Amino acid sequence: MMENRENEFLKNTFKQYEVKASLDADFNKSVLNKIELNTAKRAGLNKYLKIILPVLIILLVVSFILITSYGKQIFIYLNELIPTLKPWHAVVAIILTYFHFIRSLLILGFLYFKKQFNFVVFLNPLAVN
Amino acid sequence: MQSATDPDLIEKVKQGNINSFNQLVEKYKNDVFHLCMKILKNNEEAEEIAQDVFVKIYTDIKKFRGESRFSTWLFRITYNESLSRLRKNKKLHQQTELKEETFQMDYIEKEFHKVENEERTKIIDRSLDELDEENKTIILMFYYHEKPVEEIANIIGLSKTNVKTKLFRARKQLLTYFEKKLKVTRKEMI
Repeated sequence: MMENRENEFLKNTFKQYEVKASLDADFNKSVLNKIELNTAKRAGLNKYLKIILPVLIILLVVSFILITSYGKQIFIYLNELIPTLKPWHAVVAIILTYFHFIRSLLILGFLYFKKQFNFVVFLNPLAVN
Repeated sequence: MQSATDPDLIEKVKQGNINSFNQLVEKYKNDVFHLCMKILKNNEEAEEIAQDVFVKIYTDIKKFRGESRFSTWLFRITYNESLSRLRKNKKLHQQTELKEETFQMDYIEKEFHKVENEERTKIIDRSLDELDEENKTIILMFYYHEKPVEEIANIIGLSKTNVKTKLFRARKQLLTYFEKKLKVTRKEMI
């Protein structure tokens, strides 16, 4: 009984409740501008990703082939140039390079599927590579 | 001229009709902004999130299959966007547990009739601000937008039973705050 009374009272009370929204007069225009910006951003992202992703994948494959086939020769050549170079330096360099390559690919793939584009995030892993 | 229904407008928006989208924005912008405002308590942020909500609606409209009402989908996005902004700001309302919900229904009903419309809205607004985001949304959806429990459960992402329990608690809390605010208002008037 009490619950019904409370319910009825609140229903009637909220019928008289006035929502006062002090929205900007250009609200609709701002929404449309944001949509336009988003569309342009997404088009830009797709354009970049269509170029960058295949290049990165090719680089990854080529570098993998180079390292597995000619890794030893490259190390010997570098060792002549820098006599203090130790084998573990080369191992760390390879691991770091692949780590950043894979990270770049993951970030770009993530951005591609999320359809978002952030230039800072985009440039950062490439700059490391 | 009869205004177009939501499904008609949505169908047109899906075909890229900006005019229909504008009509949807016009129809719901105040309600969306109001919910954002109630959760975020900041005019600029609420307006920004309300805009983002409509951008999301436009971008994802093709994903909307009409299984639920458009307003349910819209409010769910609004609620989630506002909450994630709130989490980002780390300003989540700490709900103060009421030890006992003691209020006199007779007093509230009697006094509420005495106050002016504008004052009444203020009391409701202030009392709503005392509730946490979830309870506030439940109350607004149930009593103001008159949405059934099932739809509210869909918006908040809770089970029907859970919404019912929360609604029961929130109603008691709201009435307790009404009584408190009414007492203050009456004192101010005297």
